[in-house]
Amino acid sequence: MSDSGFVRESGTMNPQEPVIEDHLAEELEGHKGRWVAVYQDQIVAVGDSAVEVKEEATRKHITDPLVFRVPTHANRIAFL
Amino acid sequence: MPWYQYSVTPSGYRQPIVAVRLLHGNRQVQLVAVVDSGADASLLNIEYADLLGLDRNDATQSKARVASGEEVTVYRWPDGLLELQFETNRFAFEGSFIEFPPTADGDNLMGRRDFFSQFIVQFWDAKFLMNIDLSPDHPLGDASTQI
Repeated sequence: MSDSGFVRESGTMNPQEPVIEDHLAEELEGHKGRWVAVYQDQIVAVGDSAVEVKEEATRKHITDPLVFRVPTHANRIAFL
Repeated sequence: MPWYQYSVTPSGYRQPIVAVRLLHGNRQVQLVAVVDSGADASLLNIEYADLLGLDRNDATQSKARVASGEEVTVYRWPDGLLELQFETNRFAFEGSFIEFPPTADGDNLMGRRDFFSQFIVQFWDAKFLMNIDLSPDHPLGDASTQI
């Protein structure tokens, strides 16, 4: 294995970029607890429900965004 | 399938997050979820069910208690109604949905019953990487790993 990549049997494996890139994570910081629609690493809608942000994205002719609630992690769900 | 880099969350720590598609009939939505080997079943925010037009009254409802002490409602629709898709691989969603209380939130989770039954998942936390390979049972899986 080299320092420049990840080798398995043959060839070099280049990891895929993260789903949430670092610059996007910084932008999401300001939307904790809210729903967002993201397309091509850009926030295209922010709202209070999944339905709301999906509809807002559709109005912008973006039909297939990533839709998720930005976690606050202030009081994270954990089952007892 | 390749290695995937962990994502940085707004809270600043890295998690093994994937983008998956949830499908119901001709409706679908892309979402992000933490790949969680400690989760028996996948768990998604109830709002995705709303988005796909599912009627909460048609779901089996149960109660669960979270660490904060609050009681939450868990919804489960019959198996076969919903599907997940990771990259080009589509499979039955066998998890549940949770209605998060206003004072708490949680991540979508990909759990063992559906996601982990489709793929071989390796975590390399030291490098913030995970490898997700097709199960050897899959027609396109790696035959060299057949048991």
